[in-house]
Amino acid sequence: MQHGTQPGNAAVDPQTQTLLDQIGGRQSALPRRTLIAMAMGGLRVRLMRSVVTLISVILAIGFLFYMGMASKLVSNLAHATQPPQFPVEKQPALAAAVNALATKDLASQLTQSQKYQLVEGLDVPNPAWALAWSALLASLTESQIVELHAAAGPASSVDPGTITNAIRHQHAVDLHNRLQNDPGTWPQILDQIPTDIKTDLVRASAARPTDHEIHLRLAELFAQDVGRIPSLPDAKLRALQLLLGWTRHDDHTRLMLEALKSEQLAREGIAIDRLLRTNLISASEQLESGNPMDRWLTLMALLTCAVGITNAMLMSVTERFREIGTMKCLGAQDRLVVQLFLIESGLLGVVGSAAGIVLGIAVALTAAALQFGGYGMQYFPWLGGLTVTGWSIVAGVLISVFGAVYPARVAARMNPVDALRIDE
Amino acid sequence: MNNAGANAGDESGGESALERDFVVRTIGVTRVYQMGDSETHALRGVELDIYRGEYMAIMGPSGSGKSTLFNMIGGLDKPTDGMVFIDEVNIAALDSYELAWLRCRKIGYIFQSYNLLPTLTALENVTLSMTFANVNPDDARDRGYELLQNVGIGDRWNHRPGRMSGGQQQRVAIARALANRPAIVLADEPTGNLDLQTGAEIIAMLKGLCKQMGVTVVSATHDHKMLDICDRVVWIRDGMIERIEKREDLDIQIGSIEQQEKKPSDE
Repeated sequence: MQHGTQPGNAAVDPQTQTLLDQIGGRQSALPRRTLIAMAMGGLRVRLMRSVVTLISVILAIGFLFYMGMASKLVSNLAHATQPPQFPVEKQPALAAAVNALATKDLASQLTQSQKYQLVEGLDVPNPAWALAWSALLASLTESQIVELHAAAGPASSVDPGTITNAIRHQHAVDLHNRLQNDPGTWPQILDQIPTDIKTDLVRASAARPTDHEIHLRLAELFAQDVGRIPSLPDAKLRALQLLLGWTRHDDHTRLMLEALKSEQLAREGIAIDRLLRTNLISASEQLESGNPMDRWLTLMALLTCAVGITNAMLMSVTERFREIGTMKCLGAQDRLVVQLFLIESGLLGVVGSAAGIVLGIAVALTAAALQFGGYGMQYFPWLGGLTVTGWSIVAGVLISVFGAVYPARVAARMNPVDALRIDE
Repeated sequence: MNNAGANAGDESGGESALERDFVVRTIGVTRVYQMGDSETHALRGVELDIYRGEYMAIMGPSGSGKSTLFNMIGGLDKPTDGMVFIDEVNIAALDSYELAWLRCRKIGYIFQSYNLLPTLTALENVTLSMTFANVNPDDARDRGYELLQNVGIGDRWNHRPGRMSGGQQQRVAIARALANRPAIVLADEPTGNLDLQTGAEIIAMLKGLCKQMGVTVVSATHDHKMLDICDRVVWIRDGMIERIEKREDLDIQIGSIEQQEKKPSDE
């Protein structure tokens, strides 16, 4: 034994040695069931405070869970690689038009590559192709276009809007030229233009990528319209596609997210080509890693929760001075007292985390429905939610246990004499 | 330091331990509390031997060192100097873990304010210290129930302390103190919170049970009326033993005469 330095204790006498031999190894721990029953009892007896502590855990974990789910949802929307069948990809109207061109006399005047360019010109912000398209349209009469339309076959597969838009496109080019010549008047002019013409305008201006200022303003106008108009023609979608193609700076992300706020555009956003998706992915990655503000908020919520738990457990220790002292008189080891407090707090953590996750799911679902409508539900990250759930429970329990470490040590180090001294 | 005349036969100190059956021996115990720069001498060399199976009261005014001595005997505090033997074990040689072991098995505590654990039922309160002593749960429950019957509240085994009267709680506390068949029961003002009649009942029961089990009782008290059932009374003053009186010598009403010598217990 290492007690030789104790005053008044020269050597260990045989009797004491016998006792020490008897003690042998460490006392085996209490059965877990007893420990948990005692901890539960502690929580039950101080029900009000336990509930308040529990609420703080629930709120903190609910918030954490919601933040995790929100970023997963955006990520899901962005990564959706198998978008619903949208006409954009296949462009049946255009295909029909090209087929018509190939079978008609009119079409025979065009070379194969010109036809190809004609189709491509609708989508790609290539000045040369767009100009070729404009030139072609300019060279056609209205009746030729209608004929083209009629020749395209059954009306069901053809979107007349596409042909009409093509005609409007020429007007749009003219408008654009006017705007460029007199930029000061653009807001007034634009306000008078119907939205779908504006879309064409955007596309026309895409043919002149150097006019960055106008692109941006058009993009803003466009984004405003997006929120107001329930259904968008395919052309508008393509225009959005173009927009996102050029505005390579912060406005880019902002516009994209604004667009995503409308259910319609969330749907369309999914269908947008790889370029857009790449952009979305990078944006969502940014979201997933969280912006500094969100991270701060989450951290503060968790810290506040930990402080609350520590405070509650410290109060619990103070209230239970006599109880702890009594247990130590009865032979409870320091370890047991620590265990008791940690279990008590861990129980709070588990229950609080579970309830917090339920709360978080409710909030996340509501938010998804409000922000993205049906697509929020369709792409709700149920599976990814498992990871978030795991992390939330781990965080909840860790915070609770961590918050109880100091109070538990205070309790364990109490001198049992105090139990005798306190008069009540 | 000891008041030699009062207890002949105890003066031979350590050497007599082999012949006489002492459950507690203190040898030159001093206890100094450090309070900032000043030192408070709570005990100044106390020599006290307590026989196995006797009922001893420690009397003394507040601040006399009574509580400190009491805590030493209870294995709750260690002497600054000197030795305290509890059941022939020097507690100064034990670390906190071993002290807990000793308290668990050798010492039962009865407090003025009962100190039952409010979250546990009467039976659980009694079995708790047996659980600490690694007693098999079934045996602990059986023994706990038996003890509760012995103290007369077997039918309330499933009640929590909040639903019991003071006397009933103190009965549970007595059952708890006796659970691990301790060598000593320390009773700190056990009747302090009870009315006279209940207090008398409790004391009579405690004494009866302890005699039956051969357990030594050391009781701190202010209650002079309690002294008539004590075998010996130790008077503490200023950290020293002022005198030790046998009951026969006490100037109080004497009930039935009991023998000073107790038959040695097998504990």
